[in-house]
Amino acid sequence: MATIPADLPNVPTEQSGGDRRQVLIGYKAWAPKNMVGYVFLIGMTIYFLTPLYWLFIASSKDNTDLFASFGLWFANFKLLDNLTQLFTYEGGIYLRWILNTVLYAVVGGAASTFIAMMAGYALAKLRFLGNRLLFAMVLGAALVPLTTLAVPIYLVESKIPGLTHTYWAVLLPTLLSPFGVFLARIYATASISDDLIAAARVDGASEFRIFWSVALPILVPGMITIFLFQFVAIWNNFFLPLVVLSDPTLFPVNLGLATWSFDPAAHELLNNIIVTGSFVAVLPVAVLFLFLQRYWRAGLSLGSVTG
Amino acid sequence: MQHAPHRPIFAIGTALLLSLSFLLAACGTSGGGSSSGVVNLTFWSFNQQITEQAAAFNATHPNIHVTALKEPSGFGQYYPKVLAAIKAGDAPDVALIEYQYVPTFVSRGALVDLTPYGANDVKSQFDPGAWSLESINGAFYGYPQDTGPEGLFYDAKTFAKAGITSPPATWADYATDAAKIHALGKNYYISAFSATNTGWFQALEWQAGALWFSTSGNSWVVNVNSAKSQQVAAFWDNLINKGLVDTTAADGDFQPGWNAGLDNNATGKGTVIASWISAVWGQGVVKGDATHTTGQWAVAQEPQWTAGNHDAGAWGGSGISVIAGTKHPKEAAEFAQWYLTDPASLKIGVNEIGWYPSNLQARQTALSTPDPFFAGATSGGQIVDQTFANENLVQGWAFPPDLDAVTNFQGNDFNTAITNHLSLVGQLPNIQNQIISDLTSLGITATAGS
Repeated sequence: MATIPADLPNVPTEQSGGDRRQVLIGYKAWAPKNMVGYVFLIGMTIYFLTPLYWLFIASSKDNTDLFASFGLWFANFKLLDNLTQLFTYEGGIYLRWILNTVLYAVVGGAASTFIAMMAGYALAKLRFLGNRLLFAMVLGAALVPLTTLAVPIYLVESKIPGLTHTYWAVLLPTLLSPFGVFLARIYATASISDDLIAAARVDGASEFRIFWSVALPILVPGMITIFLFQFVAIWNNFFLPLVVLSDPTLFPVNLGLATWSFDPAAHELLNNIIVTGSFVAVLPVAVLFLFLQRYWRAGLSLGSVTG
Repeated sequence: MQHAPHRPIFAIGTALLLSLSFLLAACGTSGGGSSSGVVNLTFWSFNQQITEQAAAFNATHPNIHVTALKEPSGFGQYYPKVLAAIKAGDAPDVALIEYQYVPTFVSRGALVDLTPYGANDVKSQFDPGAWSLESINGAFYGYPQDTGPEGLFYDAKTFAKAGITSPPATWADYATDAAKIHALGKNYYISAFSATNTGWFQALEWQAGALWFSTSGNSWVVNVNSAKSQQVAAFWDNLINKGLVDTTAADGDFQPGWNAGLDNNATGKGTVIASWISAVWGQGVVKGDATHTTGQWAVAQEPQWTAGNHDAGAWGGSGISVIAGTKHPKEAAEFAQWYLTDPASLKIGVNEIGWYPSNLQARQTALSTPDPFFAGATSGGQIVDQTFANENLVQGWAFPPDLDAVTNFQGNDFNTAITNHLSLVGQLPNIQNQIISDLTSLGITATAGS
């Protein structure tokens, strides 16, 4: 092993700045032998960003240029026209769809995260009858995609008067995230020592107080990770709202855009505002990730530090 | 075991849920409870402006209140959604159902027979071809809203460049013209041929009188492999073998390459699709896609198997049905009938939604304005709908009682044929056999017609 030079570039690290291993990794990343890795990462970046780039370019085109011009560069720049049409079409219902989606994703995401944290903490740190069985069931449930449950959920919901075709019809099923519970349990196991909880108990704190004041602050990075997972899952959820909602004023944006897709009787094409609407719908998620990615990365690595 | 830890957690969870419910109660919508004897009905469609029509109905019918909801139609989600709602007992009272899905819904007991509610009183107001699509075994399952007879949209400038002076009157002419257009350049095609565009191909069979499906008593007769059906498939086999139609998947109808191909008639660069056999609603698609070719396009009747005829098959079109399980079938039937016979409703449908109406009276009023976009053959533009109004839907066509399966069998087998350079004709027996065994497995009696 070569000795570490004193004049290393200041590479930002995950948590504490002074970890020498982190610095070493940062240094070695610049060595030529990692070129393959760099090329791979750059390739992946292009791979993931190209659709977004295409979406942006496409949202600046009118219906004809959308198909008749080269897909990865601008033609007649009509972004403002498209945006105006997007936000005024059918009485400006698009904004309503965006706000609905935000409501579903923020409320559903926050509530399901909180429930997942409580459940995950309890499964990790409290001993009670059936703990392992419950966790096994959660693990099994995490493997079932929500999409396959949409119709069964709907059939159950329709037995409850006044539930379908309301905001609740979408929110209730998303409140519980087995995958979130699973992650929360891993985070709690890894980052909260039993001694800490024992100390709090000696000090006379109630169990909820321990969860709220001792455990939860430690679990914040994991919480944000789970929130982001849930937020994105709800934001992208198409099939559940499709079956449980029928009033267009309650639709999330993806479902709303589907009401604009090809209507055989309509003598007008809406491709331009569907594409622009898709682009605008991506922006809030992108912004959220840029703001919270620091926690996201920390959260992802948290569970892997100690076993 | 320790019980103390759970209680506060549970309490907080409950508190959170309760507070959420207050939050949402504030922004939720009311279910619309029935008060003072007013019957509430829900109506699903995927057309625009349906709320205007419902408002007109509600204004003149104080005892019935219709809520019109526009549902997502793209990517084939509409029918699974309606069927799921029926299963849940949560379905709308009235819904738009396209003709091709009516037998599928009927075979699942999902539609109400409208004959007891005075359907035959207004029969004479409707296109008989459309009316027959809603009639199965003496019952009647929906008022025809719009019809999609097929014609030929063509770019007259490209046709003239190829030395074609008048649009093809017969299919033989069409084949000759296909060769002339391809002679303009390897990138020129008279049409795309998309293997998976199953409804389009069925409309071609329909026009030829190759009636794929019919009923005989309680049994379905499947006739996909008849001599007439083979004739149509062989016609397209010939064009495909000679490379005169574009079979590239990305150039199939409504695909990006095809959308661009219509507009490329302006420049002659890239793939050029010079014409499109399509239904009357296709005019909006052509105008939307080919904006650089304004004034170049024209519309003609569908090429004929027998010269001098005016036969057409239909692609698309829909009706308004009453969904089984409604608590108010009488009022729902009243709305459905009003929706497609009342002048105010039809006016909105024709002028704002863009129907080519199945109601004959409304169809006459729709035939008024020439469209300058379609000025390729007539200076000042054609009255597009007039061309279609001069055609007659071939009688006797019926759609199968399990459309989605038929779509899969036909799409997959034709796709295999195109990919492996096999004939379409060679696929017909297999498609027919698969349909019969599928229907049999559903408990529907089905026999081969040939």
